[in-house]
Amino acid sequence: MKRALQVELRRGVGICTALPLAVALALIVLAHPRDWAGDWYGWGCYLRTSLIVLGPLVVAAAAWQGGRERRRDLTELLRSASRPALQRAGLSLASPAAWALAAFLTVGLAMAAVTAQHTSYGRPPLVLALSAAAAVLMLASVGFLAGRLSPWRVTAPLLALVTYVVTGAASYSGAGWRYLSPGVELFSGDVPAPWWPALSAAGFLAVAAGAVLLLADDERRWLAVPALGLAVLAAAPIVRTGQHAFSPDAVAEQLVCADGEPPVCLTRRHADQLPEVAAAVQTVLAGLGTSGPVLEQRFGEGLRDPRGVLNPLYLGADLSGHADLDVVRGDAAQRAVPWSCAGESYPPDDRLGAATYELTGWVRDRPPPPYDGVLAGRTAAQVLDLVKQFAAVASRCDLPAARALLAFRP
Amino acid sequence: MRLGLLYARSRSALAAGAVLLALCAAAALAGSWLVARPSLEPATARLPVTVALALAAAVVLAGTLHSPAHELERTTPRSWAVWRAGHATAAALGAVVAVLPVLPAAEHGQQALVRNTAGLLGLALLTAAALGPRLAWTLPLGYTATVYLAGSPGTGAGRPLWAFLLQPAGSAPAVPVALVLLAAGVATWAATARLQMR
Repeated sequence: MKRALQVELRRGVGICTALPLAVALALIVLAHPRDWAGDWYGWGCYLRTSLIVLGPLVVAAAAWQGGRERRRDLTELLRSASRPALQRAGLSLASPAAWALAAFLTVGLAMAAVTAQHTSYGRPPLVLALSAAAAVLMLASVGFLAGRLSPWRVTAPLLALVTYVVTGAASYSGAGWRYLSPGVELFSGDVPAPWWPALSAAGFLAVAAGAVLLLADDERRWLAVPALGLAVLAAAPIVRTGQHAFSPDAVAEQLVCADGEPPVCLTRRHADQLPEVAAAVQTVLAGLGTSGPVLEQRFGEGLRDPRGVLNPLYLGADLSGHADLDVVRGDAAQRAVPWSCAGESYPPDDRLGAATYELTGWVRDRPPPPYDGVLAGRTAAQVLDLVKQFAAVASRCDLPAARALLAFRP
Repeated sequence: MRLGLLYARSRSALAAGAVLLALCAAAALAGSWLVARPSLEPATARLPVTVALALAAAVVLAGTLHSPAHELERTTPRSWAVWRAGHATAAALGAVVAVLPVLPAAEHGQQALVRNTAGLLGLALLTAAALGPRLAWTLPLGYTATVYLAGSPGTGAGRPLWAFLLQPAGSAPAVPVALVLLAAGVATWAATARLQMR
């Protein structure tokens, strides 16, 4: 058994696919560091998100392995061996499954090493990683069985395409079963998941993988029925409760605030980034005073702010784990001209919209004169004054006054 | 004529054509469904179809590249490079004709679908020449899966080149990339006719 496993791991399809899988996964996570590098919850969720891409590739590799015996005309020869059918199938499946898991875990650990350097709150949600690993096993089993049953040469890629469509389509559903889909993040909005929905999904996926493997055993195929029953039982908690299963982590969502003008608050999850974020926001809004309706409020992230309305800030992190200060500055600058027109945050006038864009761009970058567009011929002090006046009329959606300020003709 | 029919039958070309037409019908329905979703931006709603159908078409047509009697064919006094070039060109033309009516002209519509189909078919032909026709699907699948998530907007310079699949119809650099891939694929597939491929 051990020898056969070693041979499969060395000679099967899996060893050829491990490096491409790891490279594909690495390219994806490197392209989106903002989604996972900032905190542990993002890390756990992105491990599952990455399965939208990894999943179809794993399915294709396993399907190719599943069709190996037929392609090489080895079916009769292997059946004549004394090894039980289930063991033969398991050994054959081990190659794509184990190497896919190795690629997945290698990239996941590298991501964890980046995240660990920069997060000051919480621990890695290993149960999310466990559910993602179980999903890899399940996808490998499904691919293996399909490859074994279908003689068609393009089974593997078409199955991958179907997997891609199904995992993608699941994210559009609002039903509880969507959380069983490998690529769906186990969260609802910004509310992180407790441990048990991920465990329920992991249990379902792992037992379903076993059930699918049993289907490949001609003699004991019936055992797949109780195994599928077990998988359904494992899935029941998350399917029945759906998004009601999720409850916010009250400690993680507590706000930590920095003094200054305006006050800036971040959740405890990102509290280590508060000094740099506060400095960025306060620098952008310097000189605008506190007379405007927005600047009296606070800036920050978080779900709830018991002390008043919070101007939201988006904290994308780059690979260094720091908040993306360009994004933060852009967010802060946009609030400097707070249009409020029938519930919309932009004016019902294209010219005023373009002027707002120019003004907020100036607030963000504070370039020296000379200026063009609506700022043409003004000094920096005059533009600052214009921004203050424009913000006041924008907040009450006074379109004629806004046009008059910019000397627009009606 | 008879030889051509036998050649096509030996490579399951008719079955592949039927599957391609079925996929096109399904993709047309999916495109209409996506564009009717209020939560999706109409300009980009059909993007998944322009990528998925192009990949499916490339994979299905690449499935016809495998010959069950390659060794036998090599012994015949025929110019297999010409046959292979003709096969690849016919597959490309057939794919374009099949996918043309699937989507209307739009930012991510007909033109993008045709361009993606040509590019991915070229990639499949290159892979078939390098790894053998049985594995012709591997590179198109891996490339598409990776680029679809990694190539989202704002991911740096050169994106129109390396993520040509995701570009809108008017993107100038994406079309030459797809055409170069197709031309290189056809030429390489034809040029490797004398090699032993499984």
